[in-house]
Amino acid sequence: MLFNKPEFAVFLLVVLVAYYCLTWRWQNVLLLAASYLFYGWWDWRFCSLLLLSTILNYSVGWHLPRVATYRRKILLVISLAGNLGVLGFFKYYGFFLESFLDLCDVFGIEANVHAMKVILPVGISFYTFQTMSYSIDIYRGKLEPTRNFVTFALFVSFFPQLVAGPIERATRLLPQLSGPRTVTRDLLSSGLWLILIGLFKKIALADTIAPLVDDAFSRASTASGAHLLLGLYLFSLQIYFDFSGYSSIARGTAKLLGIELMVNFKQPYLSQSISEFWRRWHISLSTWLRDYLYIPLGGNRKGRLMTYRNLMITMVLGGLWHGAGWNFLIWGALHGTYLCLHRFYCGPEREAPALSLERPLTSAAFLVRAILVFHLVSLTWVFFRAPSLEISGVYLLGIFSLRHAPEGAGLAIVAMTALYFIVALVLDLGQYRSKCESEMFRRLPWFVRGCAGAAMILSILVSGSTDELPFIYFQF
Amino acid sequence: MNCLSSIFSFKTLQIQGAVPKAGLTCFAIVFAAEILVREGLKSGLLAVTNDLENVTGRYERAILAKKPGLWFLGNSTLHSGIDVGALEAEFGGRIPMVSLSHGSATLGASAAMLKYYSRATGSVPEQVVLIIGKDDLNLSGYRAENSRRYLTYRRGVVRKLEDFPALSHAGRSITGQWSSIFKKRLAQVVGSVSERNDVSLIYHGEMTPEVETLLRSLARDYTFDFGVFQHIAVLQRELKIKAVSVVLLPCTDRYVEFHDLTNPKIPYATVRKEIRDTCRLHGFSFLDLGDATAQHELFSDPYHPNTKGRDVITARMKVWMKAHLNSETLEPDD
Repeated sequence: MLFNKPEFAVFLLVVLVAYYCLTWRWQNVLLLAASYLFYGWWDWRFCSLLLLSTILNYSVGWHLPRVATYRRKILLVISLAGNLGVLGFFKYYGFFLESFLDLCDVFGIEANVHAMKVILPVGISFYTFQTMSYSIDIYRGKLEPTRNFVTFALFVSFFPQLVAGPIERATRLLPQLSGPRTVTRDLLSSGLWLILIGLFKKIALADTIAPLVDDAFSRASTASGAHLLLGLYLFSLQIYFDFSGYSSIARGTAKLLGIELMVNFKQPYLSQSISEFWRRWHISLSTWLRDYLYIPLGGNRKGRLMTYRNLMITMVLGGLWHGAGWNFLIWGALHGTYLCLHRFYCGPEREAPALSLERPLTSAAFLVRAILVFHLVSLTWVFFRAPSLEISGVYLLGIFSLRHAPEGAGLAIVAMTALYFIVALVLDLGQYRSKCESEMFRRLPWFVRGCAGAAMILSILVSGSTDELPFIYFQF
Repeated sequence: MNCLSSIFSFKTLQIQGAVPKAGLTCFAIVFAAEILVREGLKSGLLAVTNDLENVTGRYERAILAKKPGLWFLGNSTLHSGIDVGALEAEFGGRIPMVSLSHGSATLGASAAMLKYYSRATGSVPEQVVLIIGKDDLNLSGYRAENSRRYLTYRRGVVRKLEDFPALSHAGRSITGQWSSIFKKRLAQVVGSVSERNDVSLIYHGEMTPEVETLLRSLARDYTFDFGVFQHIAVLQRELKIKAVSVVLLPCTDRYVEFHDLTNPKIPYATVRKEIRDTCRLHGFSFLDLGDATAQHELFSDPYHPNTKGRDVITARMKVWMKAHLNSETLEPDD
């Protein structure tokens, strides 16, 4: 079930009506059933995997504080091995097998291996990381295990964030699920605005950009350099609108249920440095990697070289989290390199000055830095979007080749790119100082607010594609 | 009572306050726009979005208007490879023909659409010519995946839930009108706005990574669809179609080389032979134009003929049709 499909609207309406009539314990039962229905809508067989992961982590979490220290380690290893084993099998089996066969081919060995076709369960990377953080937090003594199995199962499968995050922490979400919730007028209004903004970003922006990007990437070796560059800019916008749109809908939906999910995006393309970019892009993943990988590896506490090593390991594994492929590995390695270079030249992080209209010179420097970071990030998106390493190379060479192609879409694509940039800038600059995306609209006078809402709804309805375009991050 | 109060509670939602004026304004604007678009659809100023519905609607109107005795069915290779208008002119207009091409359709999807048009228009062709390439018979490739929509469409699942607001249903028409205004303005400013025209492109024989990706998806796990011929034979009897012909279109040597490399167990020559044998088995005429050629200038990519290629193929079709079809009765002569 996709957030951008009418089935989801019907599903949500039914769930909300029932939800508002129940006590909180029964609300949890309802949400749990709804979450399994939501997940099973895609493929009911994988509900068993979700249940298995829930039972494993609930059992480990329950026993962790009750056993001796050396057994606690064993229990944690069981939990991590179980979670990473399932993730590894479903996500990386094909990649490792293919790499092994390629390696055999290089050495002229004919390996006769029967390969299974493994379907990747939607959202497995997201809920696996979420459950892992639960076990680790209990092991570290930061969290008390929950007694209530229904509450824990709901924490794992909570449908607004089940398939594409935000990756919530147990310390944040479990307390909200363990007591009565109240949906105030403010929360309801904020939730509805978030859903509207999310749908607008996904349907009216990301999905309308998609064909232009597909066209550019399908003609990597023939299209003009300028066309390829515009295609890359557009993909940078597409993936941002697509994923931040999903996160907004997830947060909005949760708000309608009286639950606050973490902010996952904070205008990342206005970042002043690559380090700041990672504090603004997919925040739930970057903070997860920081807390459960980078810091345990030693973080920046063991000298410069070790810091660079830790950054590289974290980002490469972060790249592999997105997908099993050399492209994602390189994408992660590039970001790791950027972060190392940034650290090498700038030292420990300093706060960059914020955007200010009163100080035009500062604002000009702000924009220059934002443009630079945007270009550095966009360059890495080539590896994210291209279907193979070879096409990534062809695409990058094509951009710098200054090739001219007479059949190029010409001015139309320039105009479209400019239009999308303007929309992105208006949305992001408007939200730059707000805590939440919906706040920008909620501050407006009621008539302007009504017109803005209507404009977004009309754009969504008019540009709604007849093809089913799932969210990009569903594949991870 | 206690039991019920432990289940039901109405304390979660607390939304007392003034009337949401912004929400009402928003609703009023959207409602007014919906009414306007419905009127636009009624008056013909706007059209529906669903591409397939547009295409089938156009074809249905063509069938009803011409009552063609000869239907050509295929995918984009039919559209780019055969000039049906020129064939019709060759027979002096005595045999009305219609070209029904559906993007990425497999042979099975073409058969499904044949049945759909027969039902929708109440007319049955006397003769059907099915235009195919080797990947139109692959049960596992991209085309098989993409053709599911035709099979669903034939079953009558036409309108999706999201099509019910008229704004959504007529979406492309509305954006089309906006973009044509935009293009006109842009043309006034800069002179002209270029459009891509793939049919006039020339393939230079290069095997670029993106071409390879496309060919790989088309020929993925090649599994020959024997069942579809049986299905067409049943359909022929059911609809009382006098004759069915199958035409295998030519392609480039690159296309064939790639197929043979990725599917060594079912090389292209075997696929051709299977098509020939199966056609013979079911009594279909078969025109085999499927030679792999190094004349890349006749193609816009490894398998789509360009305008020059279309002229060459159409000329060969003329010869074949003259030799094999009675120009008055449409009956196959052989």
